[in-house]
Amino acid sequence: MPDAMRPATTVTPLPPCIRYSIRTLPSGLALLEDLFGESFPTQVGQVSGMPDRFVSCLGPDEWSFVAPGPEKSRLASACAELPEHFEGSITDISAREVGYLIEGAEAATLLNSGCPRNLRGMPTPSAARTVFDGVAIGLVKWQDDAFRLDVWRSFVPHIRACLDLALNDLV
Amino acid sequence: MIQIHCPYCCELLPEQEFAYAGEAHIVRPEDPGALSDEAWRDYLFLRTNARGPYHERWRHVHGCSRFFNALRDTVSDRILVTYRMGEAPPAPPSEEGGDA
Ligand SMILES: [Zn+2]
Repeated sequence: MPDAMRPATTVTPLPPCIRYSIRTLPSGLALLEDLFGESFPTQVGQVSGMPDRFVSCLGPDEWSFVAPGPEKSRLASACAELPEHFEGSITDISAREVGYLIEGAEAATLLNSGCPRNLRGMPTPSAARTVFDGVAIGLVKWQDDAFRLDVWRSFVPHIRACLDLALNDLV
Repeated sequence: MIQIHCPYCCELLPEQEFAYAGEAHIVRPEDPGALSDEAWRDYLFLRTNARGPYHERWRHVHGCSRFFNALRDTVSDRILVTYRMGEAPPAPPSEEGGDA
């Protein structure tokens, strides 16, 4: 009976994490896979790893790597060890964005309030850079009812307000 | 809502993710300094502005962020085909056919 009282869908801020923006040529991928211990998918939209540590392919030569916060110093020193012949760039953008977990049966509906993509039809798992109410966001669909959203810090008040508004509409 | 096929994402995606970037296949002069003012003006500002199939640059700005080219019919607003940078522009369809 309290089912109707329970919010079907929730928006939960995620703890701070490591985010690297990575650009490289195909020749650099093997080095990166060794370095981060994750496979680097080569089709735009593919993602590999687990919800707290993953690599997503955002463009033909662009990847996003996310890892738990405590790995910070280990990863930083690992990057410093990259050989001279590595062709690419790794940029630490950890503090640039805030992550949210959007969970529940209506998660896709909630996100579709601001995002024009077909989120129900999006494969599981998969990732995309897309748009939410005019703002660029990163989206990972882990399950049909579990999405991760990353957005630049300065847009957080706007995105939160939009999501809260849409949450009210779901009830 | 129009959906646009990104040739890099290989997916049909909503137009809100894309940005228009003007006419395609306009070659920048090798040596702008050697051009007359008129020729430079023409390069900068004069566009075909076709009525019908038109080669255009687009950018998947809220996506893979790549520029690509499209052949769009400016009358029907249908995008007939999209293709990657560096690929040869497809010929506009003949009068009768060429449905995308
Ligand atoms: Zn794309």
